Amino acid sequence: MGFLVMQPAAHDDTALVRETLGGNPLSFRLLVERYQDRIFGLARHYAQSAVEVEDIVQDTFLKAFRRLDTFQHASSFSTWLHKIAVNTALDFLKRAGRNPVQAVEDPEVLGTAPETAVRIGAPSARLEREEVAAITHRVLEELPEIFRTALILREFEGLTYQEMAETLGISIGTVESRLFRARARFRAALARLYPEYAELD
Amino acid sequence: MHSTPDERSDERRDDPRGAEVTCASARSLVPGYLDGELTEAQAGPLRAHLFACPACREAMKEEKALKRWFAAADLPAVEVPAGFAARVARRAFAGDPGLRAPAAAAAPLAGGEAGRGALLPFVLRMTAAAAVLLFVLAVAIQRRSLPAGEEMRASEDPPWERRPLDISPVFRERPAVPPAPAPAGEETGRSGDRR
Repeated sequence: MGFLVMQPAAHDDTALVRETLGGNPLSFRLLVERYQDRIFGLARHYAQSAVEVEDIVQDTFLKAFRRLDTFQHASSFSTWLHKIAVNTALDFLKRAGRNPVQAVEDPEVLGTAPETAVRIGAPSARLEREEVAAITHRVLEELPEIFRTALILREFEGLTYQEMAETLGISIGTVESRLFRARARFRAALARLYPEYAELD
Repeated sequence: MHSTPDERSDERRDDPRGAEVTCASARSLVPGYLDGELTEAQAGPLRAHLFACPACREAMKEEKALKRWFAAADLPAVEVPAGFAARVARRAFAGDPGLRAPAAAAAPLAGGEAGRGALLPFVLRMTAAAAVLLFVLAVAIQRRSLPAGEEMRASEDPPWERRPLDISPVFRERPAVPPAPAPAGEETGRSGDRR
């Protein structure tokens, strides 16, 4: 009887959020099931092991649960959750001391950094997929947080500029600018770490 | 969140709408074009420019080359551990048994954020109790070791002083005998033994 009462009545995000706030654990479980794949996919770009990935994802959902009553429906639940996930992942990196470049304070990041136009070629067809992934993630780790996150959200998570703007709390113009710089820095870091992929004029 | 001094304005996206596209504007529009972010009003003139401009076409090829790094690096989805969602939901409700949590769902859990939150005060309480216990124990041991009261002090010596020491003349004379050469590193220990 009790079990039937606890069944979620509707299945869109808004209803599940409302039912979770009303005390229905099954509704929250459905929300987690709905987004766990995407949040696991996002978290792996910041973590170095499966255990770390799971910790970040679990922390993300627990934070979301605690703040659920602050969810304003101004953006989609997905965007709101991604925002929490990105912040959780960045907090995790800071705690682990893995990113020495402080994005906000670093004048090189803020100012007009010399983003030299380095040309790089596409990955060689002979490279294994895992090898390309390893190189790409190694290069991403070299980038300041804000640029790494911009590339992860766009290139791996497939967020639109609008979704990125809402997730990061910035304007669409800033999203464009940040992506432009992030790509320039990615090219420069790739050419520096793996000069065999740099193309000379 | 983090704005930079030379951010482009949102209006910039609409600049080339219907207008002739220059090389400079084409270069800045190409990333958005490849990301599928341009309106047809922006993409049409850009395509026309790219058709007529080999240098901008080359620039677009470079952008595409970069995107292929990301496309190739996008590994298959991570396998979510079995029962993850149920576990997280249980922990969420166990950690916040307020208005949201029905009593039946608020089962105590070991580990997890909620578990950690409840564990800290318990550990602190236990540590304080252990410290008090250790202090009481230390005082009790000290009191038992010392002569307790006037009667004890006046009547006899402590037991360890009553026992006759079995020190033979050989032992008493031993310090006069030069010690045998010992390997380095053991000397300190042996001299300690003698004391």
